Amino acid sequence: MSTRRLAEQFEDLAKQDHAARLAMWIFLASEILLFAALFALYTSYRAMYPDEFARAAAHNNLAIGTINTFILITSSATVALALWAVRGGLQRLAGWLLIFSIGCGLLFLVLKGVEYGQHFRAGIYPGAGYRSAELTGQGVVLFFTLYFLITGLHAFHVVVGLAVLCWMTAGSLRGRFGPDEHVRFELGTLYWHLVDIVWIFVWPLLYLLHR
Amino acid sequence: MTTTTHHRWTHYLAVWLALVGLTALSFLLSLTHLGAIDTVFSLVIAAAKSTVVLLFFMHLVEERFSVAVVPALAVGYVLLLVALMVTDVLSRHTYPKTPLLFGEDGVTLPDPAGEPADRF
Repeated sequence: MSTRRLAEQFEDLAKQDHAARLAMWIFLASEILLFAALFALYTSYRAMYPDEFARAAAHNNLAIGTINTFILITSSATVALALWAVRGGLQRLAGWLLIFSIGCGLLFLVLKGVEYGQHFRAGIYPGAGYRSAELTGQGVVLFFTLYFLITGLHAFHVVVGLAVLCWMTAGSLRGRFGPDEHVRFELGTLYWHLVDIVWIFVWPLLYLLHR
Repeated sequence: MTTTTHHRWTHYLAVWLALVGLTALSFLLSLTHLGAIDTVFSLVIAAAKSTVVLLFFMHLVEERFSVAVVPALAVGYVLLLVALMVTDVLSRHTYPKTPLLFGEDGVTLPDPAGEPADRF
């Protein structure tokens, strides 16, 4: 049976759950707007320097970017399946699905680190630290500065998402969630899906440009 | 999730396959060198992929209107912001078209003595 506590300001659990979901979506909307500012900057600088942006994007590692896209999509699917498992009372299965998703997230970060390493060895740093001799131009430097800002902010969100997934895994394996107790679990999955959605836009904009 | 729909696990497998298929399509299209139009294609595919994630992984399709309107508004603001900023940049009539914040190599500042005062 449900052992959930009803906060005194709510009439029933359905209203409490609705309030929790609404608040989470408002938070996610604010995250979308945070990334939107960077994407808007990207779009306007790309309108100013179309050729240099294409030249700079061609220098990004397409293989790593594409593999990371598949990794995040897969981890999103297993997180969605974990919620399905919790709602069906299969808590241990949910825990294992989350462990797989955490593995995907870690692999994503490792590949991102490899790509950053390749850039640093080529002298590609954000802003005034840029010192590549082969790839020059104002637009190129702006592209890579935005590249590091967008992917860095996204990687930070991956790290936070991984911490949330760890908390959800521990809760699942200890049997804290269940068919009547899954709202907090559900809100955690929403955050991970948002991380996936941001990358869905990062990939074509930073990697697929005029290949 | 106001309704307690419980799909079969194959429902999520189908959504995942659709996302993988769209990603592969976007990747293959990028290899065909379509020129400027490929950005439009890849962004349309990205929009389709995120819609799929929002509706089925994030269960927005089962959500009440009062919740679904929040991400819808956020997307509207993003489109407005990007559209207005790009309109601003593309409709500027300045010489040179791009601001000379840095020298030709993109890093070092230009010599202030050598710069004309009316460069904007």
